[in-house]
Parts: sequence; C-alpha cells; structure tokens
Amino acid sequence: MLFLSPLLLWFLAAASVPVAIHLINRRRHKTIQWAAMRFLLKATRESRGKKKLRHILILTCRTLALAALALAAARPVISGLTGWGGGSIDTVVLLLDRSASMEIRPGDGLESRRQIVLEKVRDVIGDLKPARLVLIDSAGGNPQEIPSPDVLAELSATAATDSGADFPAMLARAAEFLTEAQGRSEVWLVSDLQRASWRPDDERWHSARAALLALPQKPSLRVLSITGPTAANASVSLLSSRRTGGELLLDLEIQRSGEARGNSTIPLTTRINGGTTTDSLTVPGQSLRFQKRIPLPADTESGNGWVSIPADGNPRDNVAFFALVRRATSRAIATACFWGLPS
Amino acid sequence: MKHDFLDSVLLSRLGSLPIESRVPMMGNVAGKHRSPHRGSSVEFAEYRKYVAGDDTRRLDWKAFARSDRFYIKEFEADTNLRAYFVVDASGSMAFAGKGEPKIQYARRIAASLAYLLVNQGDAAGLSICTDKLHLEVPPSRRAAHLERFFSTLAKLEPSGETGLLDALHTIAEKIGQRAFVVILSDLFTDPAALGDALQHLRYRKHDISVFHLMDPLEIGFEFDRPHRFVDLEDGTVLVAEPTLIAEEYKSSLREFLSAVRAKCHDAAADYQLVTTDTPLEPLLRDFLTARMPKSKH
Repeated sequence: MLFLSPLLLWFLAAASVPVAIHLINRRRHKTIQWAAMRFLLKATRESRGKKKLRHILILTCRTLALAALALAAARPVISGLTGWGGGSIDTVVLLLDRSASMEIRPGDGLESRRQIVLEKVRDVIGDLKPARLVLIDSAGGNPQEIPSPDVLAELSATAATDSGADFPAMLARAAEFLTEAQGRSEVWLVSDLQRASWRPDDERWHSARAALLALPQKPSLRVLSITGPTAANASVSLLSSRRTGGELLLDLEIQRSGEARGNSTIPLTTRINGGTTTDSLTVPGQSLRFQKRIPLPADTESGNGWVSIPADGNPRDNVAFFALVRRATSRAIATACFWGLPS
Repeated sequence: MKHDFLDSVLLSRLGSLPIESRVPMMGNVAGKHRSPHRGSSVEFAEYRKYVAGDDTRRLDWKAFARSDRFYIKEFEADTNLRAYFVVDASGSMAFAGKGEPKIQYARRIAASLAYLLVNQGDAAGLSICTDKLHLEVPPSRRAAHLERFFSTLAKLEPSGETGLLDALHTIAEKIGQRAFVVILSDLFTDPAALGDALQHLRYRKHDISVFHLMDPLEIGFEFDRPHRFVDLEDGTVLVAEPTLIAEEYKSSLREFLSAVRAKCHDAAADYQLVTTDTPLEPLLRDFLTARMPKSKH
C-alpha cells in the first residue's frame, strides 16, 4: 500500500490513545471503604464473561477507528481488491490541472500546489510501476505518453499556465484514449478542486461518464486533490481600459485572499512603453476597485504595459497587461474597376 | 441534649404518639399494653361459663337472670412492655456514602424510641452485637437507666464481622417473657439464616420490628470511575470498574433485599427498608402510627 502523505502515518500512534486512557483510568482509581462487598464480589464474578468481552470489543473499535482515521489522513493509494500488491496497472492516465490556481503556494517559501502534487504523483507512480503513463494536461488537452514519472516535473506540458482547466472535456478525452488501451487502467485527476475547473453543472459530465462506462474494461478513477491552507495572496486584475483625450483610464481591482482582515498597503507598479512608476495603495478589507489615470504624451499612438503587485502566495495573478491604440478613423474608399474598357 | 443522636425537638413532637405492641405483652407490672391474661381493667374482654372453683363475686347476675345460666365476666389485663434494641455493630455499619453512617442512624432510632418507651412507663434494653462482642444493657423502666442506655450507644465503635444471628438466637432463648424486639442492622448476612433467627424469636411470641439500614450509595451504586473497594469487615480489596458491574450488582442486591423482606414477612416481623438519608421524624411517625390499633387512628 502506498501513501500520498506518508508523514501522517505517525498519527497511527494515536490508535494507542484509547488503550492508554483505559490503563490510566484503571490506575486512577479512588479507594473507598465498602460495606456491601458480597454483592460486589458476586457482580464481578458474573460480569467477567460477556461484559468484559464487550468492553474489549469497544476498546478495539475505538483503536481501529483512530487507526483508520490516521490511515485515511495519510491518503493511501490502494490498487487491487485488497491493496496489498494485488493489482498490476497497465495504464495510468494523468489528468493534470495546470490552471493558475494551482500555482498557489501552501505557505511562504514552499513550492506551488502543482509542483507539490507532481512530486507526489512521481513518487506514487514510481512505486506502482504501471506499464504506460499518459498525461492529459488542462492546457494542451491531448494525451501524450510519458516515458518515466521522473521527468514529469521537467516537461513543458506540466509547467504553469495562466489558463483554466476543463475537467469534463479532459475526462472525455481520457475515455476516448482508453478505448484503444489494453489491460487495467486508472484515471488520476490531479487538481485543487476549483469549481471553475470542475464545472459540476456541466452537461458533458454525463457523456464523459457514459463514455467511461462503455469501455470494455472500466478504469478506476482516483482524485488526487491538493487543497488546504495557502500563503497570503493578493491579485490584480484589469476590468477595463479606455483612452480619453491625453489619458489612459484603467479600471483595476485588487483582491486579497479570503482570510485577509484590516487595511493593507500594497505597492502598485505601472509600466507603460518602458516607463515605470510605483504608487502605494491602501486596500481596506478584501477587495478594492479603483480607476488609475495615466497621462500619455501627446504623440503617443500606441503602446502596451502592465500593472503589477509584489510576488506573493500565487505569482500567476500579480500582473495585469494592457495595450493602447489610437482609435482608428473609419475611412471608406470607393473604387471602381472597369474591365474591358478600351484604353 | 448531651448526646448528638438525641433530638429534643423530634422527641417532643413524637411524644404524643404512644408506642403500641402488636401482640399481647407479658409484663411484670401494670401498664398500657394488652396482656394474654384476664385481669381487672375496665375494658370488657369476654364471658365464659362458670366452672367450679371460680370466684362467685365475678358471676354476672344479669346474664343469669336473662339466660338462667352462670357466666363469669372477664376483663382485659393491662401490663407493661419490655423492648430490646438489637444494634448490629459490625464494621459494615460504619459505612457512610451519601448519608450519615449507618451506625449513627441506628443510634438515633434506638435512642429516640427508648426515650419514648421509658417516658410512657415501659422498659428499654440494649443489645450490641459483633462477631466478638455481645454487650447487653438489661431493660429497665427507670429514667436514670436511660443515661446508661445512651452512653453505651455513644461508646459504640463498629468493627469486625456481624454477630447478629447469634445475638438474635441468644435473645430468643434468654428472654423468658414476650418482648418487643427492635433490630437495627444492614442485615449483611445469609437471608436463610436470618429467617431462622427471626422464626426463633417468633416462636417465643416476641413482637419483632426490623429497621433494615442501607446507604443510598449502596442502593444506587453510582460511580463515575474505577474504585478500589475495601471491605469494612474483613479488609478484602477489590479494584473494579463500577459502570461495568453496576447491573449485576444491583440485580444481586435486589435479590438479597427481596429475600430479606420475604423472611421478615414469614416471621411476621414489621420490616422497614430505610436509607440513611431519610428524615427521622416522618420515619418514626409512620412507624408508630402503623403500630397503633385501628380504633386509635
């Protein structure tokens, strides 16, 4: 049996807690002078059988429940009926979410969710040793065979993107691929479970399910989710931009992560046609919408630029790009061609 | 009051209630209680036929005039009552869980009833029993005697195993005349043997009352964690988880209580199961009222 979070197996020690409490309680007894001893002795003799067995069973159940919780927290990867070396998998189809949210880091100084989950996948698949590993990433969408799980993190097909993910489409694509695959197969969905990526109301889930059920050998589906706490994050997005007279008006929005409270001062850097300026913004609460006016030199015809905030929990949402052009004047040119006219 | 087991307020409240005997008593002086013999009280008992040798002064001439037969008119004889308080002083009587120690409760009952008895002209005696000791204070009607009764009760220290059965058999054999025997004990002994002892008393025509004293904790058996139980009588130690054995304990105790009750009823004893948190006044008031003849209620 393999575990995605083997460190959490240390919590198996918690299974001994009920036994420890039982033993401590037995030692914690209070002494009492007792008169009706004959009934006590008789009761003790009578309760030795069933009661003791029931007590042991309850204790065992508590111990097993805690052990099961610890095992579940360690996220076991079970193959085959029993999970103990029972199955040899021929094909693993890896559906990788490469959306921008996968670049969120669980904490300061840690790697992004995408990098963490790729490492786990590499370790687990390295242990499972399937015959084929096929990757369908959310940006490319086409199946590509991976020669070794060790190269997963180095592939451009597993690199960060700013795009979203479409799991119904990816699953349908996996089902399509598996029609040609032989032997036992598993489909691994690697994601941070963002609603925008999973689209639970999408009708295509039905067709994807039907396609998977129609396969001659039904694959097992495994969701490798990576969620949990994240490092503090702020994002900047451009809502609209327009040019009025000699100014460029940018409607911007800065959002802070859900746990953010109070005011926060964030430096906002603006770069346009090579010139850079930095302003300080005070963001009250979790979001701030504002309009930024950028004066343009009189002879500016076109250009581009970006606004950015400092790197934080998710480096993929710290920059917003924009372009400016002078509105083209519509001109109509009437032309007439005359063929066959004598010169 | 000099002794802490005597409550003057309680005694003054109960003073108006007489302690009646449920069976005719055989006292040595005149008193308030019925005697099995005919006597010279004002209360008519019965007519019986004249036999040769009867005192002709007791002939009822009116009955002779009506029936032309000789009848002797008989009257009830009133006598006094002698009470024996048998107090179990075994180690188990020292138990105090939620109520006061059982021995203290027994002291209060014995002292209060003895005071009331002597106050109405009857005699009260005390018998204290353990497996090693059988101490007796003979019954007496004198008020000065009460002080000896009370001081013996006050010095009482429960210890050892119970000697109640031997004490009951001894009393049954020793007391020649009918008496009022009050047993104050937790009765932690074999119910069958207890039944034999009570039958022995009944055979001697004694009026038996049993106050079966139990602590509320002994009946409820409410504990929230393991306890090391040490027997008050022989020092046996048992470490147990009360929640695991409570059901069996209560069932065993219920069985014992019903066996004791049945044995008491078989011996026509007045049985009262009393928990030591019961207020004494209503207990004694009900006890005395229940003993009164129906006509006096």
